[in-house]
Amino acid sequence: MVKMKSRNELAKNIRFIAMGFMVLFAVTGLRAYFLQVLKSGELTEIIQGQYMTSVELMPYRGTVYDRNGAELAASLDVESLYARPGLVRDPKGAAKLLAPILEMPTQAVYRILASTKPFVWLQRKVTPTQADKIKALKIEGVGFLKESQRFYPQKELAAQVLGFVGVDSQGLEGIERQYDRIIKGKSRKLFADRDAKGRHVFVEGLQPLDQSRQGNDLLLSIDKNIQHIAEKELQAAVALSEAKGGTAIVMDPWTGEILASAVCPLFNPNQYAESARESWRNRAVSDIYEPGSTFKTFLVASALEEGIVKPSDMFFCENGSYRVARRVIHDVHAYGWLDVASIIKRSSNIGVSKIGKQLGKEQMYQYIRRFGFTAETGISLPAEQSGFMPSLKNCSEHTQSAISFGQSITVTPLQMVTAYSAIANGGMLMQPQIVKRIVDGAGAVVKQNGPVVKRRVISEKTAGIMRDMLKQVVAPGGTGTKAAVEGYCVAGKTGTSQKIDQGGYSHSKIIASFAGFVPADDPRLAIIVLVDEPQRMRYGGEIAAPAFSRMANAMLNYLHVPPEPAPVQDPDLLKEIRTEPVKLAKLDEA
Amino acid sequence: MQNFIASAEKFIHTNVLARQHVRRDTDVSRMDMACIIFMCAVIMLAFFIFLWVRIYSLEIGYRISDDHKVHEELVQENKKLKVERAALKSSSRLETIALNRLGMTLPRKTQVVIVPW
Repeated sequence: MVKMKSRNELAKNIRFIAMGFMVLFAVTGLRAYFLQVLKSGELTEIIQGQYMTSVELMPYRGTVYDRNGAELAASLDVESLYARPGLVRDPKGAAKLLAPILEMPTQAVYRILASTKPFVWLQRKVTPTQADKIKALKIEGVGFLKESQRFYPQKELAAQVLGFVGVDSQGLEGIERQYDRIIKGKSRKLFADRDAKGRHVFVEGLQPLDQSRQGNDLLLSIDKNIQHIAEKELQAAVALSEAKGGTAIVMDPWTGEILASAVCPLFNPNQYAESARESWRNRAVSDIYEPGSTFKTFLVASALEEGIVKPSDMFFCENGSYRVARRVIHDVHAYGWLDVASIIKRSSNIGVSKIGKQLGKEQMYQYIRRFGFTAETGISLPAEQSGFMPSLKNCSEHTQSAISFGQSITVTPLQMVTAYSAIANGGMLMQPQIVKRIVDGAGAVVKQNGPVVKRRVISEKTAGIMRDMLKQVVAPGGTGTKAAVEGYCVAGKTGTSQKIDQGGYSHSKIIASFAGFVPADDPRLAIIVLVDEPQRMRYGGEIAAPAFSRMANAMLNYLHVPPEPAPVQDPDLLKEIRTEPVKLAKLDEA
Repeated sequence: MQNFIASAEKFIHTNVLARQHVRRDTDVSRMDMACIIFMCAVIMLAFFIFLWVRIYSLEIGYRISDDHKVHEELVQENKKLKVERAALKSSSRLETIALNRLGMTLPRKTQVVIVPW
């Protein structure tokens, strides 16, 4: 009996405890369901935030090369100093330590460190020396972030073409701005685990990094050595003539590639903020000017192409003074009868305005447009101007005459050299090119720019006739004799045009220019040189033509273009060369 | 009542409990033991393999992280050297050295002889 009672009690106790456990398990199960199912997403995020992190990999801005692969612009990682003011224990003390390294006033540094913002920049893009000194101080709340800095290792070379980037690596001028989207690259986020020490653990590995965030590279048509020659000679001409500035462009007349685009004054894009804003402007495409006598070439070419005139046709040049409507046109010298070739050679305004009259307004306008004037060339550079001429409706008799000799019309230096290239290559207007190729981070070609023929402007025959006339300009008796290059035949035209000042033409402000190509019969280079407001040697033939000659000479040397064979003047010399054996020194005697 | 309970107890003992077949503990066969041990060993092995893979992948992850840092530094170093080389090879610098330090000049036309092929 006693046993039965205790057994019952035991069973009851067992049941009671079992029920208790069942309740506990039920509660645990419900809680588990609540955490694992209902709150799953939220809790997973919290956990991942603790041990998973994303690493942002900054983009690499693409490099800009010259046509031979020399770096013109490249980006490197540099460190930028930041502070979390809330974590800086002693802002005053920290400011005293940091100020001399950063070369900033202590008060200024203190103001930044005492700020209420959670994150502040102390100084962007510090030098490696500064970074090492600051790291050695081990100031809490102060740290470094990597940023990209743009470097231009060739300094001033082609600065106006390249442009520069701002503090946030955004293109602000030139190629840097025009191709910003293509060369800036993309940042990438990689997810990684983080251990207790905060180190990143890439458990899923890394894909090849560089190609994905590397911006595209640009290969320009510019040759850094030709660019250097152009800049050096242009600077010399500007200095010699005490001019305000100058522009020179060198183009391959067969492909339209720009081999050099020099603008004076120069500036250093590594320190662009220290130079005047005016010097940033790429005058080759952004400045318009009245071309003066260099424009006569196209008027005469148009008349020859239409068969309106022949090279042997004679025109009376009114002994230097010619009334057109209510205005009088003058020549520098008084000429009587000149043939068309001589009108170009001696640069007669009167002669060319009579040719223009015979050509007619409509055809003149048509050919001006066909040569590419009053329209943008479409070169991939920012801020290109198109130039201007009065509308056909508003073109008076005098305006037509003026346009014939390159006034009352504005053009850019790039338009001029492109039009001269058309004469040089037999009559084809080429698309000017500055970027040859775009290449991605892996080296694959993204885009290749080849020569593009816009249209035929004049026939080969007409181009040949113009070439011969332009050779005469540089021959003795012409206005451009100083453009001659020893050993090569040059074809070109001088220009001296007045600038507009206070509503009229200035007598003191002029643009002296020379445009031409060399060697004349197999052109390798088309060059234009402009000198803006020379104070001394004020004619195109005096200052621009010699600069052309020096540039062409050095460039042809560099390109190993052999001089054109000259006829042997001295037969005895030739005999001497043939009969005298040359004794070679033996190597072991040296 | 007490008599009733006593008789009930007797009945249960005689007719219920006495008739139950109570199995005796017998020795677990050796085969069964071997199976149990084998299963345990397999489970332990799987567990150790899992652990080893996990630890190894963590190690690889650390190595990747370290190599990534080294790679970045080398890429930067390479770029720095390329920029330095470009600056050293700049046309204006080379011309200055050639003209001023080495006393060189551009050849005159008479000094260049083109040899025809």
